[in-house]
Amino acid sequence: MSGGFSAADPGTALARFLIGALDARSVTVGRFAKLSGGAIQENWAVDATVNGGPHAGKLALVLRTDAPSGVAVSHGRAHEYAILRAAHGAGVTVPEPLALCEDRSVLGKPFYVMRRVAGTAAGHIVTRDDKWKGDRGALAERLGRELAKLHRIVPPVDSLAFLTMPKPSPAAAAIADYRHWLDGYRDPRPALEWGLAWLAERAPALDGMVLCHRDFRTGNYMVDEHGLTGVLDWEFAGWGDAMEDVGWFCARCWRFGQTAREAGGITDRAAFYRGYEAEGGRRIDPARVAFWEAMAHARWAVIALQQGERHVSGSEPSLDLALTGRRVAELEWELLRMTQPEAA
Amino acid sequence: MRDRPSGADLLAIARRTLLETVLPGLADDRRIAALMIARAIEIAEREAASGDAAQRAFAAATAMLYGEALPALGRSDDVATAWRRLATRLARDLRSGTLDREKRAKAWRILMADAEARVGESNPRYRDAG
Repeated sequence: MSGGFSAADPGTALARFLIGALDARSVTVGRFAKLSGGAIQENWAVDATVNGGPHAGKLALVLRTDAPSGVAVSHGRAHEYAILRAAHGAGVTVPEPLALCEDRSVLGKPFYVMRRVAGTAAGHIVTRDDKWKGDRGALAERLGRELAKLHRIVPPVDSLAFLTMPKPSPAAAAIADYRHWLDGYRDPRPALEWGLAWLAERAPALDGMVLCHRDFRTGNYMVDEHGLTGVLDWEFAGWGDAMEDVGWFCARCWRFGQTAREAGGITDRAAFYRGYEAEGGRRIDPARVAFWEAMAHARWAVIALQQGERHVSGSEPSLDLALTGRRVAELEWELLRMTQPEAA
Repeated sequence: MRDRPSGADLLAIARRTLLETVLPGLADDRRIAALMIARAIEIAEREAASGDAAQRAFAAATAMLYGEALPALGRSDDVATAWRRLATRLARDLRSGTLDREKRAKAWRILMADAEARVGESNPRYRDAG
């Protein structure tokens, strides 16, 4: 086993921690295996047997902790756990968060455990394989409802006091962030600057802040044969513009090659929008969504540059990160296509 | 000249061997790695074929946008230097909004041609999907 745990026997150390956290008499940990994926966090599958307490029985868990290096803007585990609890409390279908451990003497780094949900999250499978996801239209509508439930969470929320308020607006704050990052980057990126200038001219004014997932897309939710089993990857969540999540979900860069199915590569937008409006009472604003879809490509391009840089800098040699760096071209190309000037 | 086969030829046959001989025997988690290797080789092959044509074209077009007489670009070092200088200027001007409407439209066309060339190397299937 690798993963930078300080405990000689992480399974036993975790079992000891879970006794108190789950109010159990005893806990044994069987399987403790690293799951694939997660460039920023590591996920470990844990099978535990709990004796006594409210969770007595067999528990299939995921333990989530930090990868060797992470993108600067992602949350620490304690914050992510608070966000997951808030989403769970609002009725969003998420893996139930069960325990947070900030005490580094247990495993060597902070972690939390949540229930393991079944199915697959892989985008190319969700969009292409008919075995998974149940009915695609129903899945899109369900995802719209899930997002609307999340967007009912509005500031202030005491348990989320660590989240900063983007100022003067979510769009303006994002543009300023990306420009700031580009200023420190090794190469000029004129195509990205073009896109950001276009976005800056059209940045919508503040229209009520909601809790945004900020990575709500195909590839970040689990489905089984019947449909949705859980929305994952809450590390970027924060206060923002509700239409940002809608635009991110629909952006072409997250359709996994199924470009005609504009809602996450699974279906057209109607079902997704219908579910969202039915559950939330907030109207979809198509112009605002279109703005955030262009922004999605700028944001993903910056993230892809950052991930590529982790390889290029030599800090974390990785073929996966290296290839992500080369996705910037298609993201810039798409951003340019979406921001064509009238005179050109 | 160098001995044959060329580096580009070696990349092509290496990728073919990987996909036809190695890949079929691999378990799922290794398949993903093998496909990523094939993809990396493919990009390197396309880069070897196109050389610095896109960077030269960008530098020439951007110099013209600024009414600059660009000296003849000989070695690839010269191209990289000219590219960096002009891309830095264009990036700065786009951010500050100092280009007029006509120049902005020209800049967009230059950027679009450059991005298209880069996607042509990194992921032509994405571009061709329209």
